[in-house]
Amino acid sequence: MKDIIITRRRQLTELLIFCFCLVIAFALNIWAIISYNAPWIELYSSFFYMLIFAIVIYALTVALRLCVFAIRGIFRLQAKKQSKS
Amino acid sequence: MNETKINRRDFLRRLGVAGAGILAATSPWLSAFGEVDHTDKERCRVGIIGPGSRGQFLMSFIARNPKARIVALADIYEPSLQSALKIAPEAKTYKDYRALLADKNVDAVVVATPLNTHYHIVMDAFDAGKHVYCEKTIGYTMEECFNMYQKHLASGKIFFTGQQRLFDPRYIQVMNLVHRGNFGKISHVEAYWNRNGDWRRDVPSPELERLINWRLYKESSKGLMTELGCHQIQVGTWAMQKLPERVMGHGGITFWKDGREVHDNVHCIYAFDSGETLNYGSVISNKFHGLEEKILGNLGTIEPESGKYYFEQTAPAPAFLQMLNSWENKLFDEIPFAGTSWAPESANENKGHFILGERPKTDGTSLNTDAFIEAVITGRQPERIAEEGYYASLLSLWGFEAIEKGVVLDFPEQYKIDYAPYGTKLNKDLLS
Repeated sequence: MKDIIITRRRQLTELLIFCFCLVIAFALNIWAIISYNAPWIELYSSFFYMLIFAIVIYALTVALRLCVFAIRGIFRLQAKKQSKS
Repeated sequence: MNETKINRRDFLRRLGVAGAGILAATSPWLSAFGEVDHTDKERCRVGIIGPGSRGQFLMSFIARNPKARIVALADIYEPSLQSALKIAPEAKTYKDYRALLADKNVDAVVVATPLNTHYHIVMDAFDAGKHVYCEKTIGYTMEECFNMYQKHLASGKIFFTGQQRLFDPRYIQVMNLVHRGNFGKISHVEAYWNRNGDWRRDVPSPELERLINWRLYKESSKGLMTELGCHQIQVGTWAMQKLPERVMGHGGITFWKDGREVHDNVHCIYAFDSGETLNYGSVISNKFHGLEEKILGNLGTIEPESGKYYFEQTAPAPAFLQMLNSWENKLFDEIPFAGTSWAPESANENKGHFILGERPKTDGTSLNTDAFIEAVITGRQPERIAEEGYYASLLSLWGFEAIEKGVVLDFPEQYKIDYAPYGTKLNKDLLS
């Protein structure tokens, strides 16, 4: 079986993307607290929900990027076939 | 035999209440346990009049109390006596209750006979110098109840009634919270006791039908109002801290048309001075809703029988979840057109909280009998216990009368007694 190598650069990129998702969740929580007139303690007490939300967004970005890679791969494969013929 | 001993501190600990002062206003009869540590060597000699099913149930608690000895039993039905002797094998047996009352070895009596016999037994017991624990409803008529209460006062003897909810830790804690205003203004109490059964006992031979199934015949019983309602109506007045001014009711034999004379379906509305209401209902052909008293305040609802309370305003979900929920609604909810212009008040989905932090375990009967034994030993009548029992009996009989007459009845002034918590005074001008 072939080893999958996750490069340092890729790890850093994924970490940055996840942090971005977490920031989005945090910002949405602030917006929700203001909109629903909730106590500011929810900034901390709702951290678990924010974390779950961030993971869901991150999972969506992963799925989206996998789709993009897959489509790009198909196009590359077709281009290679055309150049051979 | 398991020995049970409870002192006031244990009792309060079970309730989760910090001090006795908090309960003094709500349940002053708990003072019966005030000297429990000093009465260890005392013994109360008890006679049981009517050791049938209920009588034996009470005996099972008295027999476990190390300060009590069941020394005598009286019943006209021999199988009940023989069965009761298994609980109290050393007790003397009598066919005539008057012989038991003449027994100098008896300090106190428990009366658990059919309703129509309570009056003469209790009056004779007070005349004989005995302390009395009488099963509810205490009298067959309101006049009997009034005379019994006056006799208790005149004799100076202890008088307890079978209102075990007065000693049920759930109810005591509930009333403590209700009277402190934790549930706001109480506007309504909805009490019901539904069963699905014919309420009959097996009868070995037909001539014993009216003796054994006394609850079903008007000559000896007033049916569901006096046998079940008496317990729950008292909860309503205990919560409201006042007496109703009017009552209306309806009853019928709607399902068990088996020759019985008392209703199998009764409903009464008791109305209070400020518009508050207490509904009582009992149906014995459907048990789905079972037994409960719902005390409705503007801040919350209490269901003491199931041991739970529910606040009207539950804490909202975190804002983050509310936001996600609104997104979900926008995404998936249908857009209504030509729909209803109003939203029905559906029941609130609210799981509530346990009153004592756990599921209820006892109904107070054992504490009620324990308190009676303590009171007999100390010779001190706990505050309000006889009065609560008196008014509970009176209200159930009054409701029965409203059902029978089919009219709205005003509270019978002539049966009011001096009782400050309900603001009532004995009207001496109306005494016959």
